[in-house]
Amino acid sequence: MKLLRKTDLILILVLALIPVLILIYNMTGMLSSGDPELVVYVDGEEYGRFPLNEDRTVEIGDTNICRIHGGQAVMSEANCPDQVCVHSAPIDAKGGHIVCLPNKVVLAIENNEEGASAEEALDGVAG
Amino acid sequence: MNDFKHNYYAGGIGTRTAYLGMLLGLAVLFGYVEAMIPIPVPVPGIKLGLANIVVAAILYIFSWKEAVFITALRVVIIGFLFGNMFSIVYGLSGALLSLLGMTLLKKTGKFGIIGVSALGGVLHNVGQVIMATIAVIGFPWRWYLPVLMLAGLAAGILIGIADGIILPRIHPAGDY
Repeated sequence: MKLLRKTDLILILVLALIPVLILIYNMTGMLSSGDPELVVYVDGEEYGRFPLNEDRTVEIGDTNICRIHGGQAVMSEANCPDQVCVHSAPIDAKGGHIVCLPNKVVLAIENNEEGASAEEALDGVAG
Repeated sequence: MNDFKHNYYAGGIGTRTAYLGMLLGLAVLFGYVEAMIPIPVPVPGIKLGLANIVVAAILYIFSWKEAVFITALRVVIIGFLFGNMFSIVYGLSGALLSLLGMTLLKKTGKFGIIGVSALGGVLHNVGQVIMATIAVIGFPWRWYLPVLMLAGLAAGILIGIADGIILPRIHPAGDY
């Protein structure tokens, strides 16, 4: 029996094609992506996304209030005991996160100027 | 040479236990060797998966039952020796999905060991990415999945070639 059958070769090509297609899909998504946005997650679910270049105040449920002002986003109020999120540094178009663990609220920047923010955050955890 | 025509590895329960124990030891040893030699790649989680040489071999010499058993033991032992609770959970989800795919593909009888092993390599990483996506909020699976699939494919092909060279010599009765 030959070591590499024809079916194996087809299978390998298909297996190679799938990730390449996913990568191409990711890259086209990145190219067409627009301005940096503030994305609010509550308990892992997306709660809403808001452009950074418009000033506004976002009420997140009845637990947190976040404010976008001058291209920066801060957590202005939270009912949690530790207030870590309120004291976090503002995040802007460069990327970053503000996390309120007690209320499971995450503020993240997407389409930021320095690549995907989630990957940087992950490296920070691993390192 | 007639002795080699039947599957003497699977003989009695004693023979089987002895061979499987030896293969488990070999799998753990491969894991140890890999833990010692870091591969300089920028994406965490990429490795050759030498232990899969043994797992694919067990799948061909014995059956999927023995392969599942030895894989589970291997992941737990390597996890306790060199990893942590997370590496056990990730390792198990990857290894079991990979074995499921390899078993089903082998059952079709249309694919050789390189194809079976290539699918196993891809599914191993797919399983781990699925686990990470469930466990870590905001895990960038869109980027990890394709990169790790390609890495798993390359590793799986290499493992398949290795097994394609080794297996006909130690177990000529099999169909590769």
